[in-house]
Parts: sequence; C-alpha cells; structure tokens
Amino acid sequence: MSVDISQFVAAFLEESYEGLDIMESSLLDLDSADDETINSIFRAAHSIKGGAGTFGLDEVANFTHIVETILDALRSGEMAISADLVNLLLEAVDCIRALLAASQGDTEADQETINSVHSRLKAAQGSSANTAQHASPSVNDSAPTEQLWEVQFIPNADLLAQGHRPEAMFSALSDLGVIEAKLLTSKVPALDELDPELCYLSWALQLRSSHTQDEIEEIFEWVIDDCDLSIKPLSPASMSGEHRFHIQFKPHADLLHTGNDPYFIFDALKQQGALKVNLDSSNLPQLNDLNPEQLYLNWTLELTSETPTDEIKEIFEWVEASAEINIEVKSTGQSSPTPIQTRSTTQTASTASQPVEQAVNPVKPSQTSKAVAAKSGVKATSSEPSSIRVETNKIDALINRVGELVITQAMLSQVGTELSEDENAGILAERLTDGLMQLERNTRDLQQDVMRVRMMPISFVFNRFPRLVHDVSSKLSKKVELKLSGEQTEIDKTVMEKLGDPMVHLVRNSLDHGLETPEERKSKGKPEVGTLLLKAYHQSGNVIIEIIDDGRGLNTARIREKALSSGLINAEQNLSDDDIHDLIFQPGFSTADAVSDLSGRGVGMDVVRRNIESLGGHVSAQSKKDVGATITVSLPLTLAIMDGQLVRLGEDTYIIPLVSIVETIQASDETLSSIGGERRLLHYRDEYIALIDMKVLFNLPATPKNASNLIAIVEHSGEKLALRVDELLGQQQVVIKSLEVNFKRIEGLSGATILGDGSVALILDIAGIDKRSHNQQILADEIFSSLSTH
Amino acid sequence: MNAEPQSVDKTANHGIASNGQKQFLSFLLDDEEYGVDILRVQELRGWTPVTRVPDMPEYLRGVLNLRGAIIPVVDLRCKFGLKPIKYGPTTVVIVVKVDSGSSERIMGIIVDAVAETYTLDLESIQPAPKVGSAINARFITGLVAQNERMIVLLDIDELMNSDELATEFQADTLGELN
Repeated sequence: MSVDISQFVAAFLEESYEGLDIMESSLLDLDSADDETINSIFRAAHSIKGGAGTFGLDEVANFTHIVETILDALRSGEMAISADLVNLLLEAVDCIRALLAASQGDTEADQETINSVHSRLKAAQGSSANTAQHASPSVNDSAPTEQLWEVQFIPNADLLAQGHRPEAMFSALSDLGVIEAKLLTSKVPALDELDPELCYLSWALQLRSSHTQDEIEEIFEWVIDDCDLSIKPLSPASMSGEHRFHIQFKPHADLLHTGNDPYFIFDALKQQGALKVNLDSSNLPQLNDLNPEQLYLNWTLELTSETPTDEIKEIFEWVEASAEINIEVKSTGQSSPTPIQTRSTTQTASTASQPVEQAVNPVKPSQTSKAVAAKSGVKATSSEPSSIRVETNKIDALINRVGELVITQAMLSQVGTELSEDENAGILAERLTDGLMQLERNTRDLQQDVMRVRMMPISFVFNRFPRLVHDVSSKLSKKVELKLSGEQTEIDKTVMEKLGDPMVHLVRNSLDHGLETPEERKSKGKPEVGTLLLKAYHQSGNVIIEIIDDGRGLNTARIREKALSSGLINAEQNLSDDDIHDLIFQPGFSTADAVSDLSGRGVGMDVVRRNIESLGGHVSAQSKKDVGATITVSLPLTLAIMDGQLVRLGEDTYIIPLVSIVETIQASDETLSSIGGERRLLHYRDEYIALIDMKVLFNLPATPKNASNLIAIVEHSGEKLALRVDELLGQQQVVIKSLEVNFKRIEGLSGATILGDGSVALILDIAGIDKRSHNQQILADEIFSSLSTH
Repeated sequence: MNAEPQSVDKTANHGIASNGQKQFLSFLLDDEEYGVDILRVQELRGWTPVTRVPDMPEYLRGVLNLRGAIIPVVDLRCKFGLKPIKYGPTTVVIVVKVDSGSSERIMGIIVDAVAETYTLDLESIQPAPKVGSAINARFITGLVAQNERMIVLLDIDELMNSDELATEFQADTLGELN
C-alpha cells in the first residue's frame, strides 16, 4: 500500500513551527531550567528531525540532528548550560525555521548564516566531552543532601538459583537510609505452573538516603547481570502526585470484533499525561496465516500522569472482558520520558549523568524569582489542552451559517408575533410563540458559542516577546526584565493576527527609547534592571493592552519642540501634557536622537495608530518623567460583530458604529453656521466642527429643506465630525459582512450587514467619510476657481 | 476600444466539452436574446428589492443578501442602454460566478426573463461584427443563430469587471460626483 505523504507536509510544517516556538520559549526559560524544560526542547527538536527525515527534508534533518545531539548532552548533563550556548541554540532555532521556510520555496535560506551556526554547533558539541569529564568529579565532592531514590528491581527468574538473596540486599539498602519496599507479584503464574525454584517476584523500592547512586548500585553489584535494575532520583517537586504507570495490554484476538479500537484507548491515555507506547508484535503470524480480523498485537505502555489509578483503569473499562490488562503503579517518579536505566551495559553513562543533575538543581532557587514572569507565558503554551485543529474558513462558514439562522429566527419571530395578535389564532399560536421564544434563546446562545470559537488567548501574541526582548536588550546592552500579565485574555483571531506588528513596534520603542542603560538607571537611583510589563485585560467589551515601562518617560519638552519645528503645532497653542504625548502618533514624528537599527526612523507610531484604528481600536500614551511611560491600546473583542446605531438616510438604512458616536443631538438652526454658501459648521460645546450632510455626500435624493437637523457627532483619530441624518432608528448588534468579497471597497463604507428582515444595510466608515468629504470640498473649490477664472 | 474579433478564440479557451460543444443559458432583454456560459451560472432568483449603494452608476442597482453573502446586482437593460421597465414576476436575477483575476466573485444580473438552455457547436458561433452600440464589443464573445433567432453570447468576465465593477478601488471617483 502506498500512501501519498505530501498531504501531511502542511501539518508537519505547522507542528514544526509550533515546536520551534516551544524550543524558543523554553530556551529563554532555561536559566531556571528543570529537567522538563530541557526535555521539552529536546522532544521538539527530535520530532522536527524525525518529520523532516520522513518528508525528505534532509537539510533540516541534518541540521536539527546536531542541535538534538547538543540538547541530548545538555539533558544528560554531559554539557553545561551557558548563556552563549543558549544564544547559539536560539540562532539554530532561527536557522531551522529558515530552512523549513526555504523547503517550501517561500524564501531563500541564508546559507552563510546556517553554515556559520552549523560549524559553531559542531564546535560546541566537540568541546562538550572534555568539560563534562572535568566537571563531574568536582560536583561529586559537593556535600551530599538527603534525597529520595527510586529503585526498580526485577530479577531474572533464575536469581535464586545463582545463590542471591534479595532480602539480604534490601537489608543492606536499609542501612543506607529509610526504605519502603513494594512487592510486585504480577508475574507469579498459576499454582500448577509454578516452579518453586524460580523467582517470579519483582520489587519497587523507595529509598530516602544521603548516599550517592554509586553507593546504592554497589549493593546490587553481584546481581547486576541477573536482573533489570533501575535507580533514579526523585526530585521533591515531582513527588507531588505524578505516577508512572506501567500498563501491559494484551487484547484477545477478537478485540476488534467488540468494536473497540486500541488507538482510542491510547488516545485517551495520552490526554492524561506523557505516554510511551511499546508495540510487541512477536505474536504476528506469517502473512499467509494472518486473519485480518484478528488482533495479534500486544502493547506495553508507560504513562506518566497525575491521574489516580482508578481513572486509568476506567479507560480500559470497555475492553476489560476482551483483554488482559495489567496496570502497575511503578512509583512516583520524574516526568522524564526516558528514566535513567541502569543495566550492566549502560552503567557508565548513568553514573556520568547523575552528578550533573545535582549540579543543575542548586541553581534553581536563586533564579526562580527572576524568571517567574516570563515563565507563566511559556507554561500556558506548553501545557496541552485537549484540542482539535480546524481550518479557519470552516469556522467562518459556521459563523455565517449561524448568522443566517439568527436572521431566519428573527423572521419567524415576526410572523409569530403577527399571528398571536390575530384573535382567531387560538391555542396553536400561543404554543408557536412559546416555541419561538425558546428558539430565540437557543440561537442567541449558539451564536455566542460560535463566536467564542474564534477567540484565542492573547498569549499567542505575547509569546514572541520574551525572545524579542532578549535579543533587543542584549543588542542595546540594557538589562530588561519582561513581565507578562493577563495572557489568557481572549481576543478574536483576526484582531490578534493584525495586532502582532504594532505590538512589536511599541515594545521596541519602549526598549529603545523608554528604558535607560544600566549606568543611567543607577545614577537616577533606579534598579539597574528595567521592567517592561505587557498587560492585557477586558474592559467593557474591549480588550485593553498596556505596554508599561519604568524608563525615562516621554520627553514632553522635546516633543513640543519637535512638533513646533515640523509645523504640527504653533507656538500659541496651549496644549496639555496629554495632548503633547498624543503628538507622537502624528505622521512623520520622531524624537529619536539617532536613527538606529531598531526604531526611530520617524515612521512608526503613526503607522501603529493607523493599524490599530483600522481594527476599530485606539491607542494613547501616558507618561511621567523618569517614572515611565504607558502605551494603552484598546481593541474591540471581535471584528465579526459590533454594536451599531441604525440611521435612516432617505429610504435607506445605514449603520454607524456605536463606538465612534460621541453624541446624537437635535441641532437648532442657530448652532449651524455657514461659510461660503453650502459648507457648514456646527457649533458644538465651544468648538466648531465640520457638518456633513450624508445625503449630499452620498448623492442620495434630497429631502425637503429643514426636514431634519438630527446630527450624530462622531469621532475618529481624535477629530470630530457632525453627520446629518434623517432619522435615528434602533441600536443593535450587527454581524459585519464584507463588501469586498463579491464587489469592491467603497470609500465611506466599511462593510454591510443583514437586518432582521433579510435586507442589507451598509455600515459607515467614519475615516472614509472624512476623506470623502475632503475630496468633495477640494472638487467644489476647483470648480469654483475654474468658474471664476473663465 | 479594442473591437478585434478575437472573441472566438477566447471561447475556445474556456474549457469546453471534448465534443466541441458548449451549453449556454439564454435570457431576454426586450426582444433580444443573450446567452451566457451555463457553467458560470450559480442560480436563478426572482426579483427582490436590493439595497442601494451610494454613488454608483445607475445600472448598479445595489447589493443583496444571498444566504449571508453580500453580492452586487447589475441591471443589464440599464447597462446596455435599453429603456428601463418595471420589474415584474418574470424578472430574474441570474447569479453568476465572475473570474476577477485574483478572486472569484459572485454577482447578480437582472434580466427580463430567462429563455432557454442551448447546446451549441462551437463552429456555429460567429465572431461579433463591429457595431456601434451601447454594448461594448469586448463583452461579446460571438453570435449564433438558433431557431431563426440571433443570440448574442456574452463574456461574463469582461462584462462584470468593466468600469465601476472593477475590483480595484479607484481613488479618483471625483469625476462621478457631478
């Protein structure tokens, strides 16, 4: 059977990129590394290598192989972690990413960089052997602390015949410390099959002792060739309740007939923790004897999980009758997927690895506090919630369908209401109304649920920042601690995708301009390490993101100076500090002393503002000299729905986004003033704002004069506009539909929606209206001047 | 405008049945019969009121809700310079798929009535002569005689991507304002 594997490439790439992200975030977290962090990096590298090999991406596979080798050395402790090595590995992650992208023909990988990283990796790998040998004895001398050991002792059947006595060994063990032994009798056969001269027993021991692994192993010295022995340390943290289950699963040949699929069982187990599956196919007959309806396979499963044994047993509940199942709780143990196995052959390796484990641990307490902040983000991603991968367009289709359902439901409700008002309708109409009310409730719930499918935690944006801050701050030789808060705040995927670039810009700005060098900070009496806090939270239907630094703050005087010189403001203007801070979002504004590689090219904050406003949000800056600056970004929860004010223009219904409406007023004639004929201004609370007659702007049929002075005051980019409309209708939540998909972008309109009666209403785009009215005025001016010259 | 009769070649490029035949849906505007490639027709709808889009040429009647998608609707009478009639029970909106280069758009065409479907031999299609009418020669792929009537075969892509219907937004719509 041949399988076209090309269809899996996309999934492989997606997983690989995710793996690289995990590697990256874990590497940054390595200061405070526990074994699990290194393991997760290793696992990610390992699966990328494996996948790349399968899909014939040899370059990726070869490159990743070296990385994996180094990671393995780190994991086993043969190599020590250093800042340089972490940086090198981060570069290697970039290279793998580039190679993956290149394999899809997206970009050309920078071969030079890759070669240089490659050779440096090789060099690092080469030097590892020496350092490890030097390192181990010195660590061995360090004062032993009491530790918990787990000893697995599975003697061969003929152990007793060799003259060994387990109980003697156990008593020797108990001399080393407190011992707890568990007898495992699973291999004991039925009585009539029992050979009294053989040993069917095995033991799981827990030893609390200050002795080293070598000393424990010494006790088993004589039996090491006649048994399966594993000795490993239990770190106190992992004792919290993680069990290592050893499950033997021998289904009967007819298991498949019962409708059970072992795959589902494994899948369920995988949800509980780290699962290692060993397949035993020794019972598989010759091909011509094989009955395709029979199951010949056995499995041995290793599960590391916090789940109690009962729940694990429950997973096998359905196959209990048709399989031999043997679940052993081996011990509480490390969550490491590859425990240190000590057999006679691998003895040397394990002794070498042991001391370094101790060497890593003491680093922990001093470093933890520093890494806590960044770590919380990493943890969120590495813990794997049960999920499925769905294409976005499937979700969009679902949302559309539900939108349709809501409209249909509204139509039915209307019919129901009309029917119940009919006196002859009777009891049936009443029942219909009840049913319709229930339908309304259900559809509304359904709509909310479906909308939530699109929501993702903002950590997907935040997670790129530990790396960015790491890179940028070392480039600028500044000391920065990044703190994240509220990463679980959910936001629409579309909003999030467009949020990344503005956020990068804002963070770089803070790093570059906001935070000072360590010397400068010291002289100001601040701690050397600057703090950058990214904070997200929900507030009244919006997502608020704050970028807070404790740097020098915005230089109000300089901004003012600069704005004056570039003509953004004039000298007479009396501006509050907040007004001045707002100037940094003006096009072409930059106070950077020098144009640097990072930011300060004079384009930036205005682009940030534009991007964020295109998402229906806004951005503002607060600052206090030498205390720090806060950039606040406010975004709508979703782009798919919004609150709208329905207005009537002539015969048509239009929608003004509720967020942009400041106030709706009935203007008196006195407040309207005209300049040069048609163009008019509205006197509104001590300011004159441009009045736009929407029907004139849209070339709609005119209505009788003075029919309405209803005005909606709207705001965009801090500028107010007065829109004259014919009537204010209701407010409602509308589903935003694109006009572009089947038609085109129309200036002044941001989209359309479908009203309860199935008709289409157009949604006004305030920025577009402003632009449009400008164009119209320019045109009018041109006509006027051409008329007067001729 | 370019009125070279290259239109027959174009028809041939459109991917046709191997036996050199192609199916067309024909419709009426006044007494004239027009045909469009049937594979481009998604569905037929009775006339329902549409929502007017501001500042559009008269032939663009507005947009309508096609099961959740917003599609523009073009009055072909108006586009072809025929005098308008009141929409009635036979008025049909032909929903077509239009290839607009980077994307496929769904659009509606308002016609007086739907007539027939024809299976035509490609050889029987004649190139359109240069005629000075409101109908740009670009829109016509060819003419064909059927039951002693002339049917004008239209190029949906040319027709529905012309002028104001083009996808790219023209910033310079100022000329339209007066």
